[in-house]
Amino acid sequence: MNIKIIKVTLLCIILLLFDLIRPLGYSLNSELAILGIFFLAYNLDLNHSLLLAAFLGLCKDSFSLDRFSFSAIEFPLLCILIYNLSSLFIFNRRPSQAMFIKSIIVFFCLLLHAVYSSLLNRVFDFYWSLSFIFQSYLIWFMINYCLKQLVIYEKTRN
Amino acid sequence: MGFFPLKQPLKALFLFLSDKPHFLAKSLYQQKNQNLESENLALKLQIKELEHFAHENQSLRKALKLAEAKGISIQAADIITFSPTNWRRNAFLNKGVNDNVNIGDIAIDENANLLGKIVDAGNETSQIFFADDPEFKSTAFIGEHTFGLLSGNLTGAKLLYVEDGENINSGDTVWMLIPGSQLIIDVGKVRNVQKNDNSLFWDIEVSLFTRKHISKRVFLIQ
Repeated sequence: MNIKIIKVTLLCIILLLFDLIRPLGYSLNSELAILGIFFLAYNLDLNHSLLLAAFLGLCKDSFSLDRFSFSAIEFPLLCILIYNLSSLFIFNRRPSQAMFIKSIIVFFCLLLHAVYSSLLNRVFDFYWSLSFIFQSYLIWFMINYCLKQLVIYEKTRN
Repeated sequence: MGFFPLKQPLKALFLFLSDKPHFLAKSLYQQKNQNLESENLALKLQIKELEHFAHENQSLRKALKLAEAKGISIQAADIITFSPTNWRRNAFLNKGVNDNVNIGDIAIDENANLLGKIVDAGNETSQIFFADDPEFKSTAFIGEHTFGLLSGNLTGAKLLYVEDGENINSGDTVWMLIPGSQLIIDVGKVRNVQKNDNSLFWDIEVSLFTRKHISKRVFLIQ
């Protein structure tokens, strides 16, 4: 099995575990599982990312009281959206431009997730949703930066 | 014997003199003893009086068909896992039906403030909705007479269907009554009071005393 798939899967599971354990309680207004979807979509091919996204969605919904598994549908759809937007806008761009467009796509997906979850749970609070989007975006940015530093460090060490 | 003619009188005097302190001490202890016995009797009478009042209270409750005041017990439980979605505030606990946890049990924190309510109980685990969960609903009071439906909204809670909100001010304490007992627990403080002209009810926002849920221990009132 591809080592990259294992690494990304492990990262997604760790992020979901953080959501379940919540060491900071609800002080942190973010869902780390959705950030795992972004890493899936950007690092794996579409088939693998769809399967893993559906699996992650099922795991997340197993703790929900709803009978229907909404995340198992939402996560793969987000993967398809990210994949298509990336193909459309990132193809053949400089790395800095690609990074900027990636960030915009992540921001847009977080906004979609906030709207979808608000409709699903019938809770509409503009400032709270905005706080969720900005906090999640910052955390994704930090994790992405740390992982990149780790990859560069591994490459220079080898 | 004849050599000491005064032996007997001296002996008697000596005995008399040595007995005097004992005699004095005896009366002191006797007095103390008497006081304690009186006090004990007074306390016994008080206990009898209170027992009589308790019995009268139970009879009156029966006559008025009020629920009998039950004794309460507190059960500590630990949070195993939270719900992974950020739009809900619920968690799973490590106590269930086997530990006498029932649906509807109220959960409080270590400061006796409202945390939430049990909504589902399995054999070994149970699920709690925290007070700021959108699905959390319970009756709550402000002051002596004003009451409404406490409903969570992620950032705190709201008191719905309040008809007489003229005397409610920001900072007033919101409290609730434990079903089946006279126990009162604090919920939070009033954050904002307003009324739309087109609405029958007052819009009361409540700031809960417990919101962040950093502590992983809850206490269930049974």
